[in-house]
Amino acid sequence: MRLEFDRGTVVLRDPPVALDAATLPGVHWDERVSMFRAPALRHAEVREALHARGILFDDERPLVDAPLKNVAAFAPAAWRDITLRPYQEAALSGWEMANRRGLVALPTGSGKTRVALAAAARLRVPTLVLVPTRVLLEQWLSVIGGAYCGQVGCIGDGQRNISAVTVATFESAWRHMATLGGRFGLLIVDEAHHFGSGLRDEALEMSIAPARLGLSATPPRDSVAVARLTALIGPIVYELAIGDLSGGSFLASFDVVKINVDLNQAERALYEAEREIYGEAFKAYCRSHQSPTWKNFTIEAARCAAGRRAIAAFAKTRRLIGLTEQKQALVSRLLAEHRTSRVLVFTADNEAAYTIAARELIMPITCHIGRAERRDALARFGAGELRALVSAQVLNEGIDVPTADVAIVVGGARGEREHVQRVGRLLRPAVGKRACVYELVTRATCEVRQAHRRGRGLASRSTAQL
Amino acid sequence: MGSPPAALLNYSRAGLAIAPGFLDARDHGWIRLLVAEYERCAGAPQRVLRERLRGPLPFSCPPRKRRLVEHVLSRFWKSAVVAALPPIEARALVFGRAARQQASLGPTSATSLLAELARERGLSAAALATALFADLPDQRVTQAPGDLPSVNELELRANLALVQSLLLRSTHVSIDLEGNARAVVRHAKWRGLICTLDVGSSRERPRLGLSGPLSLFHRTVLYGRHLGELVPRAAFGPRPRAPRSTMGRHP
Repeated sequence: MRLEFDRGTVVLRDPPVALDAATLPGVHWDERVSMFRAPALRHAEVREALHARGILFDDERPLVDAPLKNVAAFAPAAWRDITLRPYQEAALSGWEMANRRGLVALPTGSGKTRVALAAAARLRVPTLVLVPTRVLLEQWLSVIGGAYCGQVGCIGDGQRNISAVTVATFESAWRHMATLGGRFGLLIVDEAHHFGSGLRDEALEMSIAPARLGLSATPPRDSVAVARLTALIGPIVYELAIGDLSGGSFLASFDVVKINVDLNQAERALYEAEREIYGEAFKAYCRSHQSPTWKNFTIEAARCAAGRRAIAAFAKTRRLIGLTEQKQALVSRLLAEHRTSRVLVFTADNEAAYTIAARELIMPITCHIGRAERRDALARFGAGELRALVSAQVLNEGIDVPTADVAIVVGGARGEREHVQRVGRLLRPAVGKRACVYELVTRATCEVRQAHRRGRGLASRSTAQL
Repeated sequence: MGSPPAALLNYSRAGLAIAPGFLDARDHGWIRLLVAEYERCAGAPQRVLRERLRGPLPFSCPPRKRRLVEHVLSRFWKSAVVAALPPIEARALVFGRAARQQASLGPTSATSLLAELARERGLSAAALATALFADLPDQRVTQAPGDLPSVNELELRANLALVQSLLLRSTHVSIDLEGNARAVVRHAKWRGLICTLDVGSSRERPRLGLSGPLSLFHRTVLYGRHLGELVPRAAFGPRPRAPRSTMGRHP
C-alpha cells in the first residue's frame, strides 16, 4: 500500500484487502476516482493508525517519523544558534510537550518570531511560514535571513521561489497549497487568530505538516473558532498577557489614562434620535425571535427598507461617537502636551483618521496609503522626523512600528483584540521608559461598555498556561 | 473583475434547483438610464457617484439586478487623481514641516502652515489642502471609459458574473457536453479539478462531473474560481447550456 499526496489530500493506493480503510481517521471512499482519500491534515493520524494495525506501507512524504532524512537540501548547520528569554524557552517547551502542535500566545513585542525561529532551528525539517500581509512577508524574510544561512523561499507579492524554508502569504498559500502541501514538515502560522473562521482554513487543511506552530498576541475566545483552530493547528500551549511581562526588562511599563468626554447638545440629540431608530427595530426583532442575535438582526434587516434605515442609524451613531467635538479638542491638547514624544493616534475608522490628520497635520497611515509611502513614513517616525501618526486599523497588527511612548485611543471598532495589539505598539522596552495610553470614552454611550470590555485584554493571565 | 458578493446574487430556489435571475432585453431600458447616471458624474469625485447611486434614482428597476450591473460597470468607470501637487509629495511636505515646526515652536495653526507652504510652491492654500488627500478613493475623480461596451454586452457580462459567482459557491458541477468537450476537460484537469464522465446509455449527451479533491469532505470554496473559468469554455458548444451545480454539503 502507498500513501500519496494528491492536491491537498492523501490517497491510499492499493490498500490490502483485509484493511477496512474507511475506519482510518478522516478517510472517505472517493467514488470519483475509486480510491480512499483523507484530507492532508490527517496524514500523520492515518500513518499512526496504520502503524498501530501493523500494516506495511510506503509513504511518498515520510516526514513524520524521520524528519532529519529530508534536511539534506538545507543543511542543519544552516540554522544559527538562537538564544531565548526564559518565557520564550518555556513557550517552546510547552509546544514540544504538546507533540509540536499548538498555539503560542505572547504579547506584541515579546518576541514570538524568535520562538518560531528556535522551533524551526530545533526541528530542522522543511518549514513553511504563513503570514497575513505582504509587509509581514518582507519582515519574516529579513528575520529568517538573520538566523538561517541557506536560501529562503518566498511565495506572494509577485514572487514564487520555493526552498526548504519558505515564507508565504495566507492568500498565496491558500491558492497554491494543492502543490505545496506535501513538501513541508513544519508549518508556522503568524497571527494565527485569522484562521478558524472558515476563511482560507483550507490552506492549513491541505498540508501534511505534522508539526504546527501558531503565533498570536490575541488568540480567539469564541468557542467555535477555538475548536476549529485546535483542529487545524493545535490547542493554546502557552499564553502570557501584557500584564505578565510589562514592567520588567521584557516589556516597558505603561499607564492607562481613561478620559471621559461628553457629547455636545447637537451631537447628543442626533445620537439619541438615531439610537432610537435602531433600538426600536432591534427590540421588535427580539420580540419576534426566540434567540435573537445582533448578527442575525443585521442579516434580516438588510432585506427591507426600514431595516436598512436601522442599520444606517447604527452606523451613524458609531461614526458620531468615534470622533466628537470634545474628542477633537482633547486630541489637540494631548498632542500639544506630548510634542516631544512619539505619539500614535488610533481611531475607529479611516474617516476619523483623515479628519484628525487634516486638523492636526499629522501623517495618516491607512489602507489607502501605499506601501512605499507607509514604509517611508514609519522610517521618518522612527528617525524622529514625524512626531505622530494617526491610524484606524493598519497599525493594529502586521507592521513593525518603531517605538512610541504615547498612544491616544480616540475610538475602536474591534474590541479587546484590537486594543491589546494597539497597546502592544508602545511596549518595546527602553531604559527608564514608561509608556502612556490615553483612552477617550464618550459618556452615556455604548462606548463606555466597549472601553470596559477591551480593557480586560490587558489584565495578566496570572499563570502561564501550559 | 472580482466575483460579485453573495448579496448581489439574483436567483430563486425551487427545491434543490437554482434558477439564476438572468438579465434580458427587458432590462436594456434601465441599464441605459443607469449608464447615463454614471456619465452625469464624470469629472466629479467618486464620492459624488457613490452618493448618487446610494440615493433614489429617477427610474425603477430590480435592485439586485441593478447592483450586479453596477458591479460590472465599476470595471469600466475608472478614477484618476487630479491635484495641483502629487498627494504623496504634498503629504511628505506638509506633515514633515508641521512636525518640525511643532517640535521647535509649539502648536502650529494648520491654516497658516498650509498658506505658508502653498506660497512657497506657488499654489493656493485650498489647492494644497485638496492635494493632501486627492488620491483617497472618495476624492479621486470619476472618468468615463473611452470605449463603453454596448447594453447587450453589459447584459452578457452581468450574466456571466452571476453564473461564475454561483459556481464559486458550489462543491460539484455537472455539464452536459455538446461540442468543445476537449477544451473543457483540458482546462478542468489543468486546474486540478477531478473530472468524471457519465456516458449512460439513456443519456443524449455525456455528462461531465467536476469537483475539487477537498469537496469530498466538506463544502469548499477553493475550486469555485476554477469552476467559474469553465463557463465561457462550456458555452462555446453548438447549444450552450447552463452548468448545473450543487451548493450543499456532499452526502
